[in-house]
Amino acid sequence: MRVVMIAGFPGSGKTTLISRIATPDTGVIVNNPESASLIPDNIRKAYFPLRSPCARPRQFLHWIEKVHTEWYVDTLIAEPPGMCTETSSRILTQAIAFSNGRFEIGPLITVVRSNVLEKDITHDNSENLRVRQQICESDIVVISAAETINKDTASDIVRDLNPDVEILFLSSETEESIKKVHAAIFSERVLTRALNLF
Amino acid sequence: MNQGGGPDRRELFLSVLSGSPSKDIPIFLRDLTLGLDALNVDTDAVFGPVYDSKLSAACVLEMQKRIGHDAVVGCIHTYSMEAFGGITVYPAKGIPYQSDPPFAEIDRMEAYVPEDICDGLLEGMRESYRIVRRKAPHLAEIMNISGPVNTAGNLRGLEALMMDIILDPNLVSGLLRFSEGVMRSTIEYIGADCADAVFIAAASDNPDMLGLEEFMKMSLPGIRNVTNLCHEMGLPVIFHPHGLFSTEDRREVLRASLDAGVDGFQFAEDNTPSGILRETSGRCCVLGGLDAFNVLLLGPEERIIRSVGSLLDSLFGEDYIMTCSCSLNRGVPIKNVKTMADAARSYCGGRA
Repeated sequence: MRVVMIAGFPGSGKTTLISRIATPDTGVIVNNPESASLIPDNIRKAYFPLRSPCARPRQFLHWIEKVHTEWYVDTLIAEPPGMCTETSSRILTQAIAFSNGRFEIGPLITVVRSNVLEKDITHDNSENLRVRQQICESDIVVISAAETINKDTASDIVRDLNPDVEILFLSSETEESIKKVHAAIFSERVLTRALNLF
Repeated sequence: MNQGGGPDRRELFLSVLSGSPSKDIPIFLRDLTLGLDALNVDTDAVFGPVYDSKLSAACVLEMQKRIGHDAVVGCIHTYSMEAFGGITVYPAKGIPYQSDPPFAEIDRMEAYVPEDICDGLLEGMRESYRIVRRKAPHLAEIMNISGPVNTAGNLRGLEALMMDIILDPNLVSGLLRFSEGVMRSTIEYIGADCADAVFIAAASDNPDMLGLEEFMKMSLPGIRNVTNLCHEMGLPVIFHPHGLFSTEDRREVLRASLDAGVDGFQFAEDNTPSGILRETSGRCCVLGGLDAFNVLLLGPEERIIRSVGSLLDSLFGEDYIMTCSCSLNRGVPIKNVKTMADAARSYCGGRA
């Protein structure tokens, strides 16, 4: 089974993106019951119960094992368990360590809402630190609500943190990025950046 | 940093914890279940049907023999929620996890008092601490307990507790009082004769989860009260909340945490040592270190050595005890843990 994580802050647009990509032969796990209600009912879905932070990597592994043995899907698209503000790469690297090659871990895709990049993210507060970390550890950054953002400026900000990242802009006007995210999820592309970070 | 076999390791650990920096940096793994891998025994061999204190102590000591760390948690650890009717699952080669929190139905809380925590399971764990103390008196023995919100989350189920925080603050107050009672009873039961210090593990006492104000309102009063109790018993306290404390906008919440009177503060993942030291220097011993998941679990050896070097570049010479970012549980390669400890000893040997 292939596992692809779509990370990002609450409200960034993760679930909206997933709901546009998932197909009936895909499994989906989101990080709260409200998000699960946004996923179409013809898709096999669940949500992560809230666990303390140091239990979340184990929780993620438990769920992908469960999906693997009970859902019979080829691809699982998952949000991170918990608050979605941290631990995405940590969860995926632990999944790799413990899965003994049974799961293929796809690229880490992070959704960042465009207004986050319109602020000065170099200022050292806790939100910015986490946004920077999310961008830094991702293979693909999807900038959501991108109708009015200056794409060159936003790309420069992202590339300063992660020169090799693929950047996609998502707006209500275009389906192009949806197709690219879809292609990344259902390809043979694997988690890379998180494994090279240290 | 010598192999932890000499008679001075306990003294060294407690000396650093009390505020005397050493270039011989002590190591504390907080290996809650990793000792099971050291002896290659099944998890349920220790936990059921009766807690096997001798096997638990043997696991702890075998792990210490292999790594040479200076301080140990004296037993193979679990949630202990069976005392209140909760159900914990013990997978043969896995880590214990709670399948049913005891107070998911809140009315069940009325049937218990916090002192009920002192059941047969806790008695078995205490006996393990005692055996470790008898067999390895030269090691510091650290008692591991859950923090106030952590314990409340274990009792109620964290998801239900988070909803309670929004919908029913009075209920949360009651749960937190109960939690503090559980912490106090546990400390009095185990700490009285077999611990050198108390470690408050507090992943859910976490400003990122609770918000800064709620963290200060819900977690810190319990930490302060329990710290006072420990100090009355002559036990120093290490506080290990998860979440971010090292950035400028978290300075106040870090300061408030130290104001609870704790002797040691262990930072978790994503914090910078320099940001933590800004507040702890001269006030409190600092603990923390390698990312237990990204670095220690995955390796490889070169990355672990590089990460230890980078960490100690920031913390060598400070009032510092080396730990990882979180507890170590079974599944983490023991050779990676050994690499970490050896790299730290080598760094200190070269610079002491």
